[in-house]
Amino acid sequence: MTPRLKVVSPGTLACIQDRGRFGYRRIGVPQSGALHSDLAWVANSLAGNNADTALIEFFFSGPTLRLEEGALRLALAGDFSAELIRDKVKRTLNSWRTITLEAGDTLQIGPVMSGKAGYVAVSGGLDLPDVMGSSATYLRGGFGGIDGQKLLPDSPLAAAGETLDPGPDQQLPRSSDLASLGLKQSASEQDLPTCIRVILGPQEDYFTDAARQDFLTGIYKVSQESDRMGSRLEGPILVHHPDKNPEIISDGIVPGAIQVPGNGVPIVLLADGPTVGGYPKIATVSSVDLPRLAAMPPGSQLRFEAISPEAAESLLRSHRKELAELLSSVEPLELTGIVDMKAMYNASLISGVMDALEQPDVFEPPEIHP
Amino acid sequence: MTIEEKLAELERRNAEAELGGGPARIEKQHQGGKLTARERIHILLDEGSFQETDKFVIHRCTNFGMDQQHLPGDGVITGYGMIDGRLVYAFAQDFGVFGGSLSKAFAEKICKIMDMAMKMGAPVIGLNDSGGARIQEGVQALAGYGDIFLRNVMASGVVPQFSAIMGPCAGGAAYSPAITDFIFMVRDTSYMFITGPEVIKTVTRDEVTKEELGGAMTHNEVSGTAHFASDDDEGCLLMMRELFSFIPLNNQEDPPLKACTDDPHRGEAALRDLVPTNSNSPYDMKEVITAVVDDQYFFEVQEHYARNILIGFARLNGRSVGIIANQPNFMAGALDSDSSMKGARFVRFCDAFNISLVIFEDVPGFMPGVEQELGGIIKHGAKLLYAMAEATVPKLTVITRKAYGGAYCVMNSKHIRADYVFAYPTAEIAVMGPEGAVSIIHRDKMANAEDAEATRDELVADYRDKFANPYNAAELGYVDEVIDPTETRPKLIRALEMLKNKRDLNPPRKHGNIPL
Repeated sequence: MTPRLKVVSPGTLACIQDRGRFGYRRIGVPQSGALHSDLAWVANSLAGNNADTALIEFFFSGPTLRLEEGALRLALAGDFSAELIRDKVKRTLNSWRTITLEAGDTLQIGPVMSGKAGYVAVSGGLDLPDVMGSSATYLRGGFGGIDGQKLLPDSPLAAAGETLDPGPDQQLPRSSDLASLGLKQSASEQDLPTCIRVILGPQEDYFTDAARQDFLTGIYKVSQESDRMGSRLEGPILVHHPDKNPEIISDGIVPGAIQVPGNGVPIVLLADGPTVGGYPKIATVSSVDLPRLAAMPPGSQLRFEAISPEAAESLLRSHRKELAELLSSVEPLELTGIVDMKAMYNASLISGVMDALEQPDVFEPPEIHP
Repeated sequence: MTIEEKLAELERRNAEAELGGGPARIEKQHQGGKLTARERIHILLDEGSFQETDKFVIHRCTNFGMDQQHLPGDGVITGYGMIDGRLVYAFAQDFGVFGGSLSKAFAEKICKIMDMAMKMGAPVIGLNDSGGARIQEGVQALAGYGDIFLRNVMASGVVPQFSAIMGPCAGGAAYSPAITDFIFMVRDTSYMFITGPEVIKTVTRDEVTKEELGGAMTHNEVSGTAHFASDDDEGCLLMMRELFSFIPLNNQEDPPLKACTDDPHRGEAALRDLVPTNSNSPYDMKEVITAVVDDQYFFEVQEHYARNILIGFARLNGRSVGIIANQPNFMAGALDSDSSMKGARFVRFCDAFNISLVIFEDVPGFMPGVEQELGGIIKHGAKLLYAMAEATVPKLTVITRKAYGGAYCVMNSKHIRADYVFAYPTAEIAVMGPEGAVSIIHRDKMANAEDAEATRDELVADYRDKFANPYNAAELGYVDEVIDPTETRPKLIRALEMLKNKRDLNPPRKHGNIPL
């Protein structure tokens, strides 16, 4: 029996992604793949999958899924929580864990609290056709994923494998510092501009010195016009060098390229971005910071810092090492919110009793959590 | 011994009692951002009015070394005094003496003033700051709590009872404030819960802080247990004095009249534009209320909880009224379980203490949702219906806009004994909204129409013209007057004047059976 998920509600924008489609850029096929590749890695890793397994990516509010038959393990990665409805009882689950669904369970996912992207991986992967070596959805091209479309009510989502007994659910250790790895943001961080490290070029000489200066010192804001193809930024206008043509002979574009058309408003091209373009590129976002930038919701602020290619490579290497260490520390889920019946019979259930002679110190104000 | 010597002995004893747990403990209390029990009492009551009872009471426990430890007063200060010259009984638990822990003697002191309050017909105010039951006293501490709980219950609806939580209030101790009429909490220095974080961790493994579990905002915003939150002790006590000014001393008395300088005939032209003519736009009902009441002063209760209903006190021509209003700005003003309970308890308080009710109504219905239905919206919504119907105080209703479905009946309709119902010309008193009604009545007509949408729009417009107005209800006598919104204040004041001597009785019975 193959477990099947029913899409009860698709959420704002959810689609199938994986690591991406490589080797077809020469015929104009963009790379695609998960925008926040680190989160996708975490989700797949929790689910026990290879890092390139196809999974569900969603922005803002997540989908509501019901398991029609069998049993199926899902893994949740991103700054959101989910509501599990089992036998008419609703329970809130934190992210960064797996949840093994039973037939009839409904999982309402999201909304995302920081960033905009969240990921749901299915243990063993999903049963999807392979299009040019990948199952990633390319929405503009209308291929990949499920018929090249975003998740819709009743989209078919069948697990690739049979139901196995996966053992206890898994979680990232509660003490994990997810913010330092760029996997989530604390409330205080959200109000500050995020530092995004870039490598200048390849056409930084197409801009005036002042423009290059503005680019590296100004505060930019992610505009409403941002999607899987790219993010338009609001902030200092970047003036092209008067001696240079604001258009170049089209050349190749990689995800992360910051292209500046004639109007001087920079656009960061992302996974679904075009393969070639005719505007000069002032800089390219370092791979280590691209996932974070790609998943920033409209209105978020950022600033750029230039680093060398060598520094970018070394940052990426150490980031991947740290992430791999985190993923190797996955542990069995500590069950909370479930009544320990043994404790109910054996432990003291009484609070609010004190020793008058203990002479308590003055009541300390309770810790305040943001 | 001469009389001088005897007086000196009295003075020494008084001074000892007034020092509580000693200067070091007083200093620590201050360092924690808190006032001492005695300082609190002095802010709460009119200057120099506090008369202390049982200053020299000590506990009688001999277990676990307690026979060696006595402090006069035993951790609670009790007595009576005045607020704005009106009698009130008060107790303040003293965290500086044995951690404010409750002994049998401690409880007896509280019970004594509660008994006096009942006999004399005056409110009781409790200032809570206690580590809980004194373990050395064993079951005697529980007996003490039980004695207090019983008096809280007996006093309920007879004399008003207020509680302030100004420190810890954990375990069974929390049930005394819970029974009282209003709970005030101080941010960052108070918490109340039945079982604390440690016990919870043992049983469910959930990790939660005291603040998350039972801090001021948890109870003001999430659980709805508390009614007021303030930033510090002084703010809390002054807010208690404020609330006191709206209510009578007991259930036999009318609320105090305050000299009114706001013109009772004041018309308010702004009211014409406050309710949007588009029946689907939100607006702030608080603006309607403040435009109408004396000095634009609305003393809101539970402002952070179930914000789709507004409750609070105000005055009309100097007379206290309890206001209940739907808030179209929040969840369209629909009634859900939480807002029904919030409204119901407030209606019952006002009814118990002869405070007239003024209802501002704009309700699209009850809140739809699986969660609401499974969570018992039937029984919770019924609480509000029950409370409104049962109340015998003067009851006025102003229908500003929507009054649909069962919620129309619940929100103090004529059918459940509203004394006087006003409606604005913008009112839509109907079994349901035009869109919904048309889809039922004209189902066939729309199914057979060539242009379904145009037909539907036409039918909706027609229904709106005929039924989405106050005149159908006015023709049937379900609305007493349709008024220009400008006149709301003078109209309400005249109606309250007319109802001044209202007497209405419910049938004799042991007690009703409100769906709890």
